[in-house]
Amino acid sequence: MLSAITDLPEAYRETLAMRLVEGMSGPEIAAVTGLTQRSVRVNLHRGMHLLRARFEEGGQ
Amino acid sequence: MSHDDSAPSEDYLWDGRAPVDPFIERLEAVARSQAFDPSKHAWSPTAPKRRPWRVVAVVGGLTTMAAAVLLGWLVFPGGPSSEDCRHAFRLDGSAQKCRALAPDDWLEVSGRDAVSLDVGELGVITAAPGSRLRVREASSQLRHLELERGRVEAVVTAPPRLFQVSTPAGVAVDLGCAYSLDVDAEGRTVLSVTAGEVIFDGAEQPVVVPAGMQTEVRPGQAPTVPLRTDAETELVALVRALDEGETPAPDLLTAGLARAAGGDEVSLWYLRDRSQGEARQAVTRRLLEMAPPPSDVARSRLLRAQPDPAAEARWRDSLGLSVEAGDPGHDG
Repeated sequence: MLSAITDLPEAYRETLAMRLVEGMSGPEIAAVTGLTQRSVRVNLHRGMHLLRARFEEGGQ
Repeated sequence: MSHDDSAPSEDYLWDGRAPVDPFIERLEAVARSQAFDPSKHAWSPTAPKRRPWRVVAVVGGLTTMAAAVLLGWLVFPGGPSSEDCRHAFRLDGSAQKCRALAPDDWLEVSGRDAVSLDVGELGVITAAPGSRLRVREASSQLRHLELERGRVEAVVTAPPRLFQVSTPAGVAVDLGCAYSLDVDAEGRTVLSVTAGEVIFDGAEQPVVVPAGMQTEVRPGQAPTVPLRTDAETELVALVRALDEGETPAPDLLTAGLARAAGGDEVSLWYLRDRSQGEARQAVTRRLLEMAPPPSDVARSRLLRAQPDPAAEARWRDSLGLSVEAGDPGHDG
């Protein structure tokens, strides 16, 4: 599971790490990183979309 | 490929609001148990302000722990598509795999089955029977399709703004994961977003359409106010009236705004631009109730007859509807 996170593109990986590992909310991530809330939302969603796909492919 | 299953998790992913997504909850549990042991890190988990470098440290730790597994992935033969298939649209199918559509090649879906277009590693486009489309650009900076008629469903995992679809009514700029475009014989376009966000730039003001909402656009006209696909009837009627430039009856104005609920903030934002006088004031007051501006923006600045650009921009940004450099409608 951790390998799947670290293999994500950088923008998705770091945003998802903040969300999943540190437990930060989307607005908190935007405040810390300086990204717009939309960018954070997109990164979270796309990162999670890729994670789901990889787990589905791997049958995990 | 199923995509509907990811849409309901957006709220939980964004701020942890219910309903809980079991997949994400499991990820959280494993990630925290394996990667975030406070006793092994220099920072205090009770620190009030988290900093980006802490995330870098966490990611670094994850990378180290997973290195062996990653190596296995890198050499695994069933990985991404081959180089020949990248940076081009291609027909997806056993017989036609990797056959690229060159710019200006038209594709007509004449059979009874939909056709999938694999956009390199950026996503998949499904064109319904009866559709006619072509590739306008397929560079590493921009993948641009033109849909003359028919229907496409797009599931895009590319960075925002890299994928666009033009129709006779305007251009859809991808900011999100999944959406559909329907174009009829007159060029009337219906954009429905199921995950993420899409900007649609029509003849006038562009609109940001989030997941769960749709907009209609006729050639030469501005997009209609985005509406939730399950918006209340009274709100839909009010939006239609103001979109057509009518002055809504007082009863319709009152009933429509009263039925606006969570998720309709985007509709009300764009509805303000389509309304004037008392109607605009009423829409603004309702939106202020539903989505207050940042604390340093006085409500009176948003209720002025003459718009206060700075206050409007702050409120719009807090609603997640601001556009960025390079987006349609950005002022530069």
